Amino acid sequence: MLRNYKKMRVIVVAFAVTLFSVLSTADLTWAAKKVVKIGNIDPYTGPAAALGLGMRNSMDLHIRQANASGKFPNYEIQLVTLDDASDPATGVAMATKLGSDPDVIGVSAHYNSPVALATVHIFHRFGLANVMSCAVHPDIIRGNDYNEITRIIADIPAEQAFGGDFVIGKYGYKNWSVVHDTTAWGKSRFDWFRKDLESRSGTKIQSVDGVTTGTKDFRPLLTKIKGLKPDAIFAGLVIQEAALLKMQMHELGMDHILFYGTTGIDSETFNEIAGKAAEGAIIIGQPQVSPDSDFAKTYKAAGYAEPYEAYGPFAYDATGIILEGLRRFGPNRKAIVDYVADPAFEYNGVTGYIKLMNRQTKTGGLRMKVSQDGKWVPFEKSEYATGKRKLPGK
Amino acid sequence: MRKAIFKNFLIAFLLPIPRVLMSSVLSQIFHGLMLGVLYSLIASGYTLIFGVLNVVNFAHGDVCILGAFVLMTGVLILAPLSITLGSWYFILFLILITITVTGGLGIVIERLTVKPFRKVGHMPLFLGSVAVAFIIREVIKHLYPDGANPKQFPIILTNLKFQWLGVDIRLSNLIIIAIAAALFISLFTFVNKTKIGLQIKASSEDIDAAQMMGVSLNKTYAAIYFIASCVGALAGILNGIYFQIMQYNMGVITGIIGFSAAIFGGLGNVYGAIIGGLILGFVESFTVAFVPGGTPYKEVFAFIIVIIFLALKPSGILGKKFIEKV
Repeated sequence: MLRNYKKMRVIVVAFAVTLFSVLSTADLTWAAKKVVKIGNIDPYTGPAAALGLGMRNSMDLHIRQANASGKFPNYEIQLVTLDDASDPATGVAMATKLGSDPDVIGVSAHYNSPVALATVHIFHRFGLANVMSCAVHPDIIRGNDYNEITRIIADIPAEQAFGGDFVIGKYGYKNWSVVHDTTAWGKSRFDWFRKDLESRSGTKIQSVDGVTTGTKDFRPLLTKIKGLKPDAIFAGLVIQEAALLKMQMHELGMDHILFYGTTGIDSETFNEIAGKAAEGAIIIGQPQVSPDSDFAKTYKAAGYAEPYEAYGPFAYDATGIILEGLRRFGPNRKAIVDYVADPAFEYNGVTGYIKLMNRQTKTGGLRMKVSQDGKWVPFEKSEYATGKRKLPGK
Repeated sequence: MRKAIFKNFLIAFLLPIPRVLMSSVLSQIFHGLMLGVLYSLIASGYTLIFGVLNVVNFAHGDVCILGAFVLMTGVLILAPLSITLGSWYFILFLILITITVTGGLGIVIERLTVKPFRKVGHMPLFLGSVAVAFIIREVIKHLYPDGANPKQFPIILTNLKFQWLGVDIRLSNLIIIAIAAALFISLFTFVNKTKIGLQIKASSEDIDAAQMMGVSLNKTYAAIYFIASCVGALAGILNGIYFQIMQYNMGVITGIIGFSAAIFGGLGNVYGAIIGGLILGFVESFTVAFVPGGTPYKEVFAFIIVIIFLALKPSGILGKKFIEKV
């Protein structure tokens, strides 16, 4: 009897140990939150890093807020951040990585148009929504019928028409020299600038020069342009090259020639690099989020090392759109794709009311900005608008 | 009367044209000269090391950029000293510290990546220099505040500018040329007139014979890397002053162009490095200025000329023919 008792005790203890071992290592996710991921692929290094980091941080902010809000009780939402270094090949690899991860339900990817052009097919193949807050080359949207690819800012043709109304239509700069980079984005900038210019009478392009990304010395080029005596120079360049061009224009005594840039240099990094030489530069700017807005205050309170820059609020809204899709349809890639691509889609975000037509917005709150005392200032609020300061050549 | 009016009209109309053209050509010559001087400085570092050690240091371009970042770090940390020392003495102090620190790092590089492999062969030396280049870039990117982004280089020389014969010239550009010229003269004097310089020269001609005459190889190698890194640091600083921008990965392209200039001029010959650098600078500048649509292809033109020349004279402009007996 005693032997049987001892035997029984051994069996019970062994069973208890086994059960404990199984339970302690078992996957009990049916009781825990499901992990859901939103991806961000932007340049965290390279010439556009300032803007990429601002977008990353803004997405991170929105996801933290979503997790804390209690609106997603069944999900733990994570942000997956990948650096494309402004390189198309790297962007393709990162997009493939995100597409292969079944937990990723949507992304907001790419600052640089050449990278975005390279990855549209990847996101389409994986059926993964890319709600773009940047990368304005028209072919990203117009060059395909992929519902996965949407964009919540205006594209290049819309920007150039908007800017042309200002610099050519309103202020009468007629004779132009063009300096653009030789990427697909830079060439597209020039193409649409030229088309807009040719649609206006009395205008002329005196010279066109393409420069490779990374060019540091514009002096020989600017000396040549100076001899042609244009009214203005259109710079289809990103931040570093644009800042160097403006600095060297100043060095060569070309302050009387207008420097006209694009949304690609709507970043205070341009002013930091160019310093005093930036004064009087004009750009097409993205919508401004007020420093007193809830977004700006919350971003500042979160303590990110980098400012949100021009595209951070758009990245914040892109995240909000994906989160709204998650809230409505759950972690279903196809449902989220269809939701954003639906002609009836609309969204109210920190950048304002967003309504897509053919998967992108139109002018979406663009505004002209001028560099005044080392900062980009909305033109209508600047001393150039009041006449206290004069634009170059005026 | 009509002839006189017509003659005066022609003089008034035609005279300005050559002046405008002349100032444009002079400007392009000046731009080419500036670019060429900077390339020559970088090329001389490559050629110094190769001339003695028969080693191509692929990290040299990144060492130049490292020198610029060491100075920028010095400005961040030591800026309060400028009040005590006065701005000129502070700048001089900073540059000396930068050159010394970078030269010291050059010795460290030599000890870690060259000395262990001297007798093994060229492939480990090549791989070692590539690895060092990569490490330097990553260290700058991660350790310097916001290191991934381009930075405005500190304005350590005057921004005064003036015009001469229609050419816009910054005073700092003339200072760059003067510093470069002084450096090349110093290098020449060092190699030909000092004891260690003669030891270096002897080692470059016959390393075994030099050893038999009591020349210490360890000291010679260390001295070469120290000097080349000092030259590289100065080249990086002058690059920063001229372009007023610095980024952690600028050493890649800078290094390729400097290395090409060194080969073009004749690897191992400092005068060749100077000539090679100047020619590349002029070719790039003139391509942009005078070749229609040539701007995006300025480096292509420069390298085509290098390739054509090397096909005709593989040893470079001033390089010596190397005869190996088998």
